[in-house]
Amino acid sequence: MQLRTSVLSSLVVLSGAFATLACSSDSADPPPDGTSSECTVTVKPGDNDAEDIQSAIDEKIGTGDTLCFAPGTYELDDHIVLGGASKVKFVGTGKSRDDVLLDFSSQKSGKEGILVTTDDFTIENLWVKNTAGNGVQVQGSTNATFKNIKVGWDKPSDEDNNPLSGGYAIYPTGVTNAVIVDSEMYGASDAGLYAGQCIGVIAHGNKSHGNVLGIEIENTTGADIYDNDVYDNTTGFLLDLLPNLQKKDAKQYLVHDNHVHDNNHPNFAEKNTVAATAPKGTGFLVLAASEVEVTGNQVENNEGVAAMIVSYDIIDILAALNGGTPAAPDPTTSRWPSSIYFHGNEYQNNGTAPEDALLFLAAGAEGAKTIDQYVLWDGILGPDHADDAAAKICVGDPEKDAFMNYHADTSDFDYSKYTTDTTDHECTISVPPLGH
Amino acid sequence: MYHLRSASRALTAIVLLGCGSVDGNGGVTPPQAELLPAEWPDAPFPAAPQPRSELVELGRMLFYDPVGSNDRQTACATCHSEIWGMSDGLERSIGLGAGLFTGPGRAGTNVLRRNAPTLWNTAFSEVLLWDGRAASLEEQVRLPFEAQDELARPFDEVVAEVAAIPAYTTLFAAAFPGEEPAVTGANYATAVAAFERTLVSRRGRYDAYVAGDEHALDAQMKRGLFVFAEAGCVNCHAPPLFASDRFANRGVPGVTGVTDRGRAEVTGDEADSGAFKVPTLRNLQESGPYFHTGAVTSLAEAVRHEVHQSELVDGAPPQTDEDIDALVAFVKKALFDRRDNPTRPGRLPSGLPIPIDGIGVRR
Repeated sequence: MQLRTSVLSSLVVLSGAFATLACSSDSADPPPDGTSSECTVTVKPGDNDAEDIQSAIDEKIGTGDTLCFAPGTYELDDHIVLGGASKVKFVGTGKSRDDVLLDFSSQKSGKEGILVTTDDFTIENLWVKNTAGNGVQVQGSTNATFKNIKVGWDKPSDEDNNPLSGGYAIYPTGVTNAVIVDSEMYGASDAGLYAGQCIGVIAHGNKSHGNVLGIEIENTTGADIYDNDVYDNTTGFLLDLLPNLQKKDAKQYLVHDNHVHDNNHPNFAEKNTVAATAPKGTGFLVLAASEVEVTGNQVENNEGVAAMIVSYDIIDILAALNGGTPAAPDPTTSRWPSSIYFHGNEYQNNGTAPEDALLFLAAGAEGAKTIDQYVLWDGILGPDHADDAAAKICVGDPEKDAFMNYHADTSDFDYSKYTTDTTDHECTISVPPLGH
Repeated sequence: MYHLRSASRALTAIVLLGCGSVDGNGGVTPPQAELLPAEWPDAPFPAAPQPRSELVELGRMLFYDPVGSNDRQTACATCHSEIWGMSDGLERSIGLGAGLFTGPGRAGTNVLRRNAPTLWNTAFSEVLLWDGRAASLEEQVRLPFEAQDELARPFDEVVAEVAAIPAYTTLFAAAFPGEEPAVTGANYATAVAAFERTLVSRRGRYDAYVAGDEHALDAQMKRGLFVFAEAGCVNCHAPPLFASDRFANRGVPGVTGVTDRGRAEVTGDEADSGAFKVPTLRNLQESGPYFHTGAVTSLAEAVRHEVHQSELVDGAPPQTDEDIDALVAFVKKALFDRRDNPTRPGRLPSGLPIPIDGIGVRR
């Protein structure tokens, strides 16, 4: 497994398609004194940090420039926006990312901490926390690199699990080629890393913890997600296709060699969001996506269930159970997962204490209060699927010996009729890693 | 991205302007240069070449030509007509299959989800459409072709057909000298976008006033300018464009049976649900009905809705009826300039009939 990862990394770095990653990987660490010769402008903490930083961006940063942040704590009452110049880097010049803290605890305006809408953007070696809304958002651009940054919230929720934090920590959306490496995201009331409607997402070497969703890859084409440590979230991974968005498909996700463990955090998402339906204790939730290969991951101590593959029908049901309203129908977006392949993952100590909606499934498993199967499928077929085999919900070793189809369409919540036969599921698919 | 800070600076300027200072003769002193609103932004022309007359002329033909539609009767100009404020006078636009007639009398089954946004001053915007899904005019040009209820024809197919029309090959060759082939999808989009960038409204009474002509606004409009700042309108409708590339949820009711999450469809963020792009107020009086649903017919009613929202949501001070009337007068008259209104071609290179506009009845 390790071999595969390093080969992959090399390929990714060598690939011209991901030039930004290659560049940032090759650059030397900035010196700690804040006087790097690579800095076009260096800002330092002062009395009016948000305005100073924004003025530096507006007046001094042009295409190809680097804005350096000297070590220290910046207190920002407004968001930071980069909307003009492209090929810009934001770089902290401390010894570690913790040395440059952008603290948005007093933020009064803007719905995110940092918003970038230009191409070829890189942000590295700094820490963004307590933004009023989302953390670091890159919207609609080509080539965005998040490298060695930390983004999160000190107090994500109150005692009643109402959210106090923003929705997304690291937030590329509508981005072509998003690269998220060696970073940490924590405390998001939706997803720590949320890549939505992107083309090409590479994420590795990250830690995502204390969020409702550790890593969410939504309505995206092409994702290669590996070597991440995903723990203490409500649900580790959400790999999904949602209705009523511009981009109508979610496919070609390769999720491998991650450590997905102890995702048992109570759900503190905003009510009536998809995140609010994420079952506590879930390792992987695959929702309505297609061409998803999940392999080589270490999945352990997730008390609900190791992996679930579901249609959007389930989300509507869960939304209704939570007192919410189902999403409006979107006939142009598929509701059903297809071509999903779980194989070669390691599972330990999952499904030991399922709660809430997962209890329906646990009750079905011969009256037990545990879910012993690794991979569960709701068995709901789309109109293009003549039978179970046509859906291509594939399981290899060891998953084929621990698979459950709980027939949500016909069982009327009596999941004792679940089946474990994998005759229709011993297929394979292959998702190429990005960079090939 | 039109940054909030720019809007704040403009606010300061406009408040100072609105208050003015009364000189010994009882007249309002023309504003000092440093108090003027932010500079008129340079139009971004992301795709070289700069607009040349041949390029704009080609773009104008393509804009009015229904050659790109599946029914050979629908063009850009069907929903963006110079007679209806570069919009279409409909609550929600009607796409393919509704004939050559455009304007409020147009009827058909392909009713779109949203009101057609005006094309005035799109040259200065970096996010386009109500949900901001296009970042440039060049990008936006392609979208209606792909939409099954708008033009419903693959863009490549349209380009191939245009390439086979001799009158167009001549126009493309003139607009893109030395390029072989000249008729490409990118050049098609470049030409239409170049034409759209000529739709600039910047010489209204307000502009004359800030340039120093104190008589350009009458007393009511001046009052309206002050109210515009005081009521907080300026925070989003930032001068000089009286727009911003921001998104706001202004409590406009949705249309029954239509799912529209607005900006959230692009960002995937629930917090953006119901937020739509802040439109320009330039030439507003011609581009009704208003808001993304087109549910509000009169400009005065639209202004009242916004003032009410600002009171309710943003904590803006309440306004008297008199002040609201002044605000309406300001928006309606001071921001009106259609000197650059485009000219409709007499005949089209494709030989197809031009959409027939102005059914002649304003509701």
